[in-house]
Amino acid sequence: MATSSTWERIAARGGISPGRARTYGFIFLGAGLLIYLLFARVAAAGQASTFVMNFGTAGQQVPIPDLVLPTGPTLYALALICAFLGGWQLARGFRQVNLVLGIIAGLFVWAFLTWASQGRAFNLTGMLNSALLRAVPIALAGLSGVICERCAVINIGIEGMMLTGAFTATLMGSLALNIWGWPSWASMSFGLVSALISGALMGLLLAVLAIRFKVNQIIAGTAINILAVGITSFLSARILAHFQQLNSTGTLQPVPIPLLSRIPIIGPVIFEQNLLVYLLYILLVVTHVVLFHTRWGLRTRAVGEHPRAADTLGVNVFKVRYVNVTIGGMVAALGGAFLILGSVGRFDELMTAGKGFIGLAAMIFGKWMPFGAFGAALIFGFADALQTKLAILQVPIPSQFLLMAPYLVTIIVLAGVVGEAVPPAADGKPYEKQ
Amino acid sequence: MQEQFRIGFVTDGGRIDDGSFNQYAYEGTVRAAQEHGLTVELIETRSPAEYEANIRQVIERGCQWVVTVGSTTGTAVERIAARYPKVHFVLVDYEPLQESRNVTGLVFAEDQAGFLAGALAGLITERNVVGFIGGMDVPPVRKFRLGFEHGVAFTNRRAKVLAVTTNSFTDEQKGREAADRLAEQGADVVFAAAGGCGSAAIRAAAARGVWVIGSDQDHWETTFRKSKEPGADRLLTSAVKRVDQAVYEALSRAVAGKLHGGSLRFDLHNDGISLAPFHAADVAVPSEVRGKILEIAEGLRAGRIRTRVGPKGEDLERRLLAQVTAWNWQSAAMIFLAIFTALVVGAIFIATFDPKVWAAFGQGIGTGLAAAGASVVKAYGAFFEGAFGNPARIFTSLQIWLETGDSTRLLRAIYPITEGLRLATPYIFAGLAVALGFRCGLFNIGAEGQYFIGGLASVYVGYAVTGLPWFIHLPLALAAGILGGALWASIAGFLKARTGAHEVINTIMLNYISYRLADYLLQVGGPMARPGDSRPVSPEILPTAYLPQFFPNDLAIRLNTGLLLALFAVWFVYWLLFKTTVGFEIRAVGANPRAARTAGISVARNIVLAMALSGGLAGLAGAHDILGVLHFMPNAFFSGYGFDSIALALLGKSHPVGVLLAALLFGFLRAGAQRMQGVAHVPIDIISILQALIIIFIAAPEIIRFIYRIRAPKATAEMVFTRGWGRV
Amino acid sequence: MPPVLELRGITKAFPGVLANDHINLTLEEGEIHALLGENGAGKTTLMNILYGLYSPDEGEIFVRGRRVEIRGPGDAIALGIGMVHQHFMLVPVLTVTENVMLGVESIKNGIFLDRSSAARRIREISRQYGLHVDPDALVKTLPVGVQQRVEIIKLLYRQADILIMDEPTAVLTPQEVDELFKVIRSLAAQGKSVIFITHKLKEVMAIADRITVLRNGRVVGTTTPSQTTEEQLASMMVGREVLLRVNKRPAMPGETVLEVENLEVQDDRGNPAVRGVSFEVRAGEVLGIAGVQGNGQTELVQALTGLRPLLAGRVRILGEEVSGAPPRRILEKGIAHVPEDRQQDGLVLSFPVADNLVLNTYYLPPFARAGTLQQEVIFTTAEQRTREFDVRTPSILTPVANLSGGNQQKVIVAREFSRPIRLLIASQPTRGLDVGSIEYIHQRIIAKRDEGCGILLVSPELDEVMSLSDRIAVMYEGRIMDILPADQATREEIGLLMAGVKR
Repeated sequence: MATSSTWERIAARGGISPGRARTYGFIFLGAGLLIYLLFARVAAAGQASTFVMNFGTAGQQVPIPDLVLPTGPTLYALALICAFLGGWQLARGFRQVNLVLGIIAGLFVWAFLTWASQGRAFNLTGMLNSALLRAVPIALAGLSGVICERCAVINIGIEGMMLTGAFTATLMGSLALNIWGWPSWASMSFGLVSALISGALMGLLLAVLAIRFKVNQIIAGTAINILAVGITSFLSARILAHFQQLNSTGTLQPVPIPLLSRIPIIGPVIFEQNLLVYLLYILLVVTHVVLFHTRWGLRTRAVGEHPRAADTLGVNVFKVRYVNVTIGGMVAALGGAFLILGSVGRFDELMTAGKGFIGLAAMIFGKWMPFGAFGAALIFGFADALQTKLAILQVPIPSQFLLMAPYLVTIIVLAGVVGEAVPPAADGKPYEKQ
Repeated sequence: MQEQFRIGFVTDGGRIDDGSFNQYAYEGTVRAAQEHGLTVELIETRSPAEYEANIRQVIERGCQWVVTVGSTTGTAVERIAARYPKVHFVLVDYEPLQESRNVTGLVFAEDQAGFLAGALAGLITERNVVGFIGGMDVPPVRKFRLGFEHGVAFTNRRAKVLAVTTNSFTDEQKGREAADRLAEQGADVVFAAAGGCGSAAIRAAAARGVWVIGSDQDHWETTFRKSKEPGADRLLTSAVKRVDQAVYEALSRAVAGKLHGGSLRFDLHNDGISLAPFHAADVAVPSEVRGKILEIAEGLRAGRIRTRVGPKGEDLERRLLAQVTAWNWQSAAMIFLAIFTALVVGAIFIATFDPKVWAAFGQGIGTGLAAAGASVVKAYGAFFEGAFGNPARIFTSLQIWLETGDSTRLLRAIYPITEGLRLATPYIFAGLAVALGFRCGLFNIGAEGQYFIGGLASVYVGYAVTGLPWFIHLPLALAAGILGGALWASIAGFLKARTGAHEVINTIMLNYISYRLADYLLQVGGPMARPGDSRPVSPEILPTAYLPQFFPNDLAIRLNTGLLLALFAVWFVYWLLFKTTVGFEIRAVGANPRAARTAGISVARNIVLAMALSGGLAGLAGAHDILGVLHFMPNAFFSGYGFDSIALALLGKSHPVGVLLAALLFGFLRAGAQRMQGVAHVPIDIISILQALIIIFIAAPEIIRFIYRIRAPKATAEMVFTRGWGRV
Repeated sequence: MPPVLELRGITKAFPGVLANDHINLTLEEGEIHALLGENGAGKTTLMNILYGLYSPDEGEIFVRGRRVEIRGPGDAIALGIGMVHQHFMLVPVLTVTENVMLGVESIKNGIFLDRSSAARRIREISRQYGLHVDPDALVKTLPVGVQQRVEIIKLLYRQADILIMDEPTAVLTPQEVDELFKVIRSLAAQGKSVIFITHKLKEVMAIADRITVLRNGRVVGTTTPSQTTEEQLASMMVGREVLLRVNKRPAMPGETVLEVENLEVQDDRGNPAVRGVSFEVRAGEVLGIAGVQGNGQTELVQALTGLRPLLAGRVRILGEEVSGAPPRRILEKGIAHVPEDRQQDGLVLSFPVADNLVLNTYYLPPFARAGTLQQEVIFTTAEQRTREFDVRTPSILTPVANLSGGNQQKVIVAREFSRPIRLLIASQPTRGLDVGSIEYIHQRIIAKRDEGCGILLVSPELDEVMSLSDRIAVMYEGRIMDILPADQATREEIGLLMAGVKR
């Protein structure tokens, strides 16, 4: 029967229609072609690219040899692999086509790095470490998004909540440290807790607007963003500008975890970070377990998908949403506090620079899963870290274009190149009790 | 020779002796036929389904003219009429569409008939309560009713009219109930315009001893069958539509070759309507009443007296009043209160974070409170002066100008006002941009980036294109600004339409990208940098690309003709949204994309289009600031338009005129805030706080209602601003 | 012994409607009590009051002789009241177990969900009442019949003994209905009391011990199946004599207006929804498509009207190929489309009646000239159409959202029927309407047929399809099982085809 063959063909291509499958094929081929045109063709002969694999404690204690690749041949090989994968996709089709797309993207980045570091040494492990560090606030923003949207409240105010958190952490942390003379760890903890409280208040504001007053959630979130920008900039101009000692908290230093930090490559990247990064790991695990293996999580997901059904079973939809959104605000504020305590130690106006929104993109890319959002955040962090390192490598690309990278990646990710994301069914809809 | 003409008569579903329109129209037809020697083909329609077939049948029998009652069958006839252009259709009680050439509708001045009936009722009533029973709220009935009401008021100021609608022309039970109700409420004259339902009503009313007035035909003949039915003596008169006369008139014109498409109006002037004789009630009507009625009829005929009812049954007198009251006063009050409350909260903020106030509180509560008050007064005083100028100065300088003709000081004095207007101009554009997006269900949070790109495009055209006269160069630079913004925004529109990616995040990302792009282009030595300058700025644009100033002799005043352009944009967006098919599509997609798609509207195209239009307007804001104010592009002129414009659109309820008012408010707000920062050292960021509060209060009016204890209004259809992440 | 449940003088008003007007009702133990009434009679409102979703303005509720206040579903559940809603209250992305345990989760080690013990109890209940279901299946993968079993299990899991079933048969095949009735009878035999809400007379006669009829929010009477007839019930329900059949002349089919050949369509998730469907519709005939909802009818109609891409196959209208054409081109070929979901797809609710009446013709003369809307013409036309189609609206400028369901549907009918059309595709044209509106719309459809218009009628209401159609195609899992002449088809035969059984 003609019918079944169509479906079989589609099934063999991972459920993707023939036209889309072909597009994928051309994308793979195009990647190969680009590697050839942009990198391989212009690479000087006889050059080698050196990837340094040692960083941090492990780098000093268990050094492993650098990875030295001949630039030209590597690039040609990468181009050929891409071309081969493209050809295979066009001829036979992959079942896991999205996975292959990810591999292609990885190969392309590898090719780019190989080309950029020709004749030089490039510390890969160091860059991954910095990528993770840059991914943390984005991951926290994404996690905040997951917590809110799993119960169907869109939180576009994450940016503002981060900003508030950052400001509060700075002000309170500096106050304790420089005015009251508390020890560093106490004042940082104080700053952190204050930030969490400020985030909870902002989350509560969003919850009240979205749940009690049924304000369009995107508008409520936007109002929160504007409010946060206004308040932090106003107070920054009124207070921080006049009292410099209120704008200096100091930063958390990396704490290598014994043993684990000695694992080559992985150790210095994952286990030689500051305490807030470890807090993120814990939060990811906790959120995942709570969402999928506890009563609260089951109710949260039910409220996010079909609030009426949850309501008819006696679940208090409003309570679930209030609590989740408030916690979401705290997590976002933690992201802001990380920018201060885990990173720069002082507050600047508008310093979040869109990380809250990028976090939302990470959430969508990660399919509303905690670890998914984290994984997506790593990609953004990588793009961000890459642009700083490339500036050091003196790659002939204007730094402004490199700075655009995270934003461009966000747009590309959102465009659903990697499969369509399905949000919780009730996302963004206020619940009307009858 | 007239022998060959045949008239087809088809009833609309009623019988030919229905004592109503079919019967009288047929009588008129027969009269005309006899007079002009024509033949009549008659078909009685038994069920609505046969109607169209019957019409075709008389046409096939060779009838050149077809007469029928059109109140419910009009569209069906028009459809047939389009297929038989040589046949002429005469429809009773029907207003044809504009383009029908072979359809003539016969319409009646029910308002005049009702007015006369009302005048009579007003003179006859003793209890000063009269009743009206209408079948449905359709134009003829509405005209009867309003005419009646105005007629009553004309002769008897104290009389009250009780009007009821039965929602039926046929249900006799409902008619009886309505009559009983009116009688119980004390009505002693009842006028019914409700077909068979109305006949039952006046019979029931007459049985209770109430004076009754019929409509359409003389009910002496029909309802009361010449006094054979009980209660005939209570029939005062009937407000008659002379359907027979009208049909006769139309056919006579047709014979004379003078019948055209469109509608023929019948009123007192051409005897198309009248009051029926008093019959058995003759004795009860005093002669001065008759004289008065005749006088009024004469007045109406001559146009001295007007019924004040429009052709579709609208109440001309009340329309103006209604327009004023329909304007949502409460909504306006809510906006005012939102702004006021935001200012109060702002004041608290200013006082709380003023170091001087802190210091004063250290010396005691009283001193502290005084300092707080002083702080707020100083801040808002500077604010007011920054926004509207110093009234005393304006007054004295106005005197100087009037006495000496020297305008220098006056211009200085009104500078704050011009500055407010100047700042409002880009707000108008940007606010319109967001409002237009909202109308299509799009949340364009990227006005900022589009403003940037628009500015970059216009500054480039402004300095790089040389040798053009101003009337080409200026429009070209403006167009570049529009195009730049439109293209930039349509990236997000395209992604939304194509992949469902939400425009909120994408436009924000495009904002950041546009900052970097500007950074790159304008950096020292960059592609658009001013040669030899150590600052990252673009070259000066040529004077031929300047937007002309309003006051060229005082260059400090930066108000320019961009304001006129903005006012034009307000009109244009209004016209586009509400008067064109493009706007219809945009609004339909915004309100319900699925239904729009089902109706054949391309959702994707409208999303891209709306986004492009929105971006174009934001780009125009950038072009205005470049071509009218700065004349070059500095790097990193962070403008805040992205967020401001959202507040503007919300405050203006996404209506162009509302946006205009909101933009003026914000313009003055910003002008004031600038001075507040300069004089009272209150950071200008207070503006953002005020904006956020205004947005919250507008979006959640319950907060304001709670604070001021205002009751909630009736629920109205809610405006869709934007949707969640999913595909449309 | 007091009745299990007693309602006294329940009154509930919504703005403009008195939904329940002093309603009294008693339910005995082990009784199946049918609540009969047409759409809008107030049945669902009453049950929502009982379930705590609405609070009554007046009246008292007694459970087992004790006066109770039900403030929310939680209270109702605690009193042993359970409800199977007309639209299933299931979370599609969760498993059966998760859906059943939601709200009464069993916990192990203090915090973690104990799915396995819950699944065990579900299996027990399944066995006891013959409700077969896999506890680990995701609900979205289950057919509607099974989803309904999950709903019933949810009640039994909570040990409800007063079961309210709101229109439970709407989505079932005749055979599945029989099976459901068996389950309900066994529940009653085990001492559960059931309130069965419906507007279908046949079902009432088949299942009920007692029948209470509601009309316009009032109780019209209470009776038993042995004391009454379908005709009597119908006139109680509607308040007048009802034509149970549509009068129509035999069809006089003319040329072919729609030709569908080997059509294949995907649903939203990319799964096959329509698999190799072929049929034709001729001028002057009604082709009815019967089948349980969700067997590809929605996707078929969307594909025919250009709203969904075709994967394979051809669609020809009046002999011209329109496969893959955009909706507007298809509409312009003389196709009228009455969509399945009038509020989502048929109307822009915030737009006034007048604009909705030109929603697909606004750009054509005389409604538009040179791109500008001719508002006067739009308004005059709207005045005429509302009169012609008897749309009850305060004004043509009233937003459609403020109209009743029947009048909203009339707006769509007025819009679609007053264009010159050759083919009408009507999806569930009478869904949720009162009898008067149903009769009216049926007459209009037959009148269109007699004018020589081809009609494709899609409806899950078997009665509707059987009374209107000249030929009946039965759809099951995306395929057309068979096409039968309407005068020869029997309910049983169609029922079997609807269940995928071919004789």
